[in-house]
Amino acid sequence: MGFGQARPAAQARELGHKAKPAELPPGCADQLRAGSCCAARRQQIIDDQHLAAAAEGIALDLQAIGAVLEGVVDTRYNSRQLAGFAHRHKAQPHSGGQSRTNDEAARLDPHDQIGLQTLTNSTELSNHLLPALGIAHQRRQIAKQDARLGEIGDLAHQAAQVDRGGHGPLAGSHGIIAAMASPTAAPLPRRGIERLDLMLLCAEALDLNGAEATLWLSEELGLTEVVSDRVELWKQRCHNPLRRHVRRGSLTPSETDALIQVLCSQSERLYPLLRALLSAQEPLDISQQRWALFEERLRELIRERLNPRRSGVQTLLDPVGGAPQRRQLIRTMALAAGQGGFERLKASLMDASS
Amino acid sequence: MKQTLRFDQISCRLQVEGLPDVSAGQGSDAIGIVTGWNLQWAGRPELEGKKEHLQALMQAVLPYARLLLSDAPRLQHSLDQSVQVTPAGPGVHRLTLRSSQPDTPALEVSLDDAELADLVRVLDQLRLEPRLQLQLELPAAQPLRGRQLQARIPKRQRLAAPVAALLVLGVSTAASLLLPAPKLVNVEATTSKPTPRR
Repeated sequence: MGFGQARPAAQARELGHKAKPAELPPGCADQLRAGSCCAARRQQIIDDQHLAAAAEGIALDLQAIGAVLEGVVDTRYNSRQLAGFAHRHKAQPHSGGQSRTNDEAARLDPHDQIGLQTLTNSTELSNHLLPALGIAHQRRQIAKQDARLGEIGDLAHQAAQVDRGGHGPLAGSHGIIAAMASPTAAPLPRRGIERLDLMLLCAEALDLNGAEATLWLSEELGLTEVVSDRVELWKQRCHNPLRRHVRRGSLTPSETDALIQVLCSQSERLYPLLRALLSAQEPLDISQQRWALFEERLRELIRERLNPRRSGVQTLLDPVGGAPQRRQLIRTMALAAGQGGFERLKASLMDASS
Repeated sequence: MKQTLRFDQISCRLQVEGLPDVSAGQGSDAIGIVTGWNLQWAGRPELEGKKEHLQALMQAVLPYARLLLSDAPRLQHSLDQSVQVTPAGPGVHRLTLRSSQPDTPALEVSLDDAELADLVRVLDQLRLEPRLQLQLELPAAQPLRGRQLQARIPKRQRLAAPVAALLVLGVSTAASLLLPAPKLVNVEATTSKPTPRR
């Protein structure tokens, strides 16, 4: 046996072993059919469908588009509502489970909380927008097929539910913890902090509940001592020199590891959408729509939180010049997702500054 | 009892078959001896091989993914040169697999970013699978040095500083040549003779 014995796809089909379509991810069922799919009698097959979304990829993709759409709608709505209020009263908008003590942090940028608000009618709004993309019908069909998928924009809740089942996105996070070595003493270089924060920003651009999900994930990963609440998270992210409010110093090794872990888990959770953005197999118009929605949301977040006078921020905001960098951020997140992502991402963030 | 580990992603499926190494005291659900594996890709040839081929695939693909994270991809190959990955344009990666059998042409597979990410994920899952109790010789992910990252900086930008330095040096040298040379003074002529004391 060897690589040279690779069987062509057509030939593999001709072998005609009974591969159950349900065992394969959608879209691959017809193509991925091979003899080894069936277990022999005395053979024990341990099927590790690590990502639940592998079987529900299309559904989650569409769902994620909805989340992005929601994000755009909500941000516009909320920014009008919250900006004045937060500036005048120095208080932060409430969200579920957040204590008042955290709200009273004077230096917390009110814009940081915009993504956390959820409109009660946001689903209705997105339902109005989805038909324009021609995907509402598909989404309804998929929703009928798989009742486990909840409402759009409720990804954090879904992830919690799925995870309890043992096949959720966090199933791999325990592997991340196991893979995590003891924190290194070397501080994260400036460029590493920039990239880390920008990827967390991308996660928020992809998911309206990204900020809440970050906190929820840190709790699930047992990192509450390091990332205890929104204020702590915000303080750590403000080490990014591109931020409007920059904190001096650098992240401690434990903070660095915690943020990388959270990002890896976020990427794992958002992997179907990251994959859809990167895939060249997607129809061009759908892919362009996805990128346009993501970039619009990201631009809004960047304008709210980063210093627009910095050349790095201007590059990111550039529709043409910033496209490779935005794609690189998404690609990095996709390759950092999963169990082995932690080591890879940490090593890349520790790269020498060039 | 024969064990099979299967890892699914959207575009690929990796299946590893093997047996527990009873002599090493492994449990019945472990795999200590890999008897075979296969990698099925949507619309592409199915790969199969032995443990060495699987290890070679991991030795090439995982370091390449590490380089991609730093946006500095370059050719990566396995220790035995049987597998190599190289960038083949924006968002495209070429995986070349050389068969261990004679007179078998090398197989080339082009992968986009999403397919490569799927492949990396299944290899990661296998690598970190606790039931796979096998020593795999894989390089650890390390930060890149400044020199290794030079490829991602455009040549124009990279050469700007040394060219500017050379220009400054040239201009300052030319300017120093334009300065008038100090006049030579004949010390004997100008030195007045001491007047005798009266």
